[in-house]
Amino acid sequence: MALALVIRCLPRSMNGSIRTSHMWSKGQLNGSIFKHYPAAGLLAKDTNAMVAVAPRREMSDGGDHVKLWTAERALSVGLLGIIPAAFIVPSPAMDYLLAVSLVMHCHWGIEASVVDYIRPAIFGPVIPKVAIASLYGLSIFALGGLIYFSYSDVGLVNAVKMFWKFLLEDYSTLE
Amino acid sequence: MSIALRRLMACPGLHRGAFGGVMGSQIRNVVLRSQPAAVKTAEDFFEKNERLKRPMSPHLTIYKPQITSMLSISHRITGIAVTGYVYAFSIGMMCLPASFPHYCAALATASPALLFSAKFLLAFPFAYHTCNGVRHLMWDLAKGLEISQVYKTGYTMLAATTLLTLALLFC
Repeated sequence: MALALVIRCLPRSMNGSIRTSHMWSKGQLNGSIFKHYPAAGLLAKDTNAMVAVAPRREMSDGGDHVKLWTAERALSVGLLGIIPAAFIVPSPAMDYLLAVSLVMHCHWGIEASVVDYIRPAIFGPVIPKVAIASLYGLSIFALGGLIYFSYSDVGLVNAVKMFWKFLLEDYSTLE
Repeated sequence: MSIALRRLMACPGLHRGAFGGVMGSQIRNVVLRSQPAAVKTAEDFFEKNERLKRPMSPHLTIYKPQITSMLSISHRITGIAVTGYVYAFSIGMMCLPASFPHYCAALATASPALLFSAKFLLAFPFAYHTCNGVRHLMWDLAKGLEISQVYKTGYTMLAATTLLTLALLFC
């Protein structure tokens, strides 16, 4: 009863007791208000606290997502110009530029899909990482393949034109 | 408790000398021993439901397909399709021994129906993804975000996709 009254009489400045409970829990009792208000420590810690477990894991990016997002949009706008330009004004340089921008755009798009659907909450800790690593591998090979194709073969633009043209030739001969 | 005692208690720091030293010797310093908080790991919501083997409530399957969601998922699907084509082509051509004109000539032997279908399967996802991509970029500029505008631009986009596919297939 007396103890309860002591606690109720504590002035407002005792809010600092929450911080000083660190000293208390470390076993340092000197130089603190606990000399005068020994019961204050009881206010600071609820020893039956239920500690909530962290929620399910997510593969969230810890850093600033804004730069990536802006780069993605800039590339999308760029690609809207590069694809027609590569077909209208073909050249080896356009082929390489198209290869790099196309593969980057594809990579970022698939990465977003993988992060959205192959989640640690469903697949566990390993599979999502494997999926992302595989995607990086595939993208690197795809980029290498397109650059190699432009270097030693006809190039992506010419390949599409060839495939497209010879079908249209069929139609023109039908008429 | 008496009123007098309550008044005395209201002044902090006066407890020890309050009763003329009578209670003084009976007041002792209570040394409190610290203990780590008993960490009772609360079960996470999903863990609890797994433990009780409860089925998950239907969510995707019961939501009415709407043009908003259908156009959105189609954007993703067409994007994955075109990426599939690009990656398969580039990795395939890297692995195959001969050059592209050789394979192109070999493909010429296929039936026109098959070739036309192949052309359509290439042209349509590309056209859809491009037109809807423009719509997405508009949204990123914070334009056309009202639901009526989403519907209008959605229909416009479908019309543009149709025209672009036809143009790619027949021109």
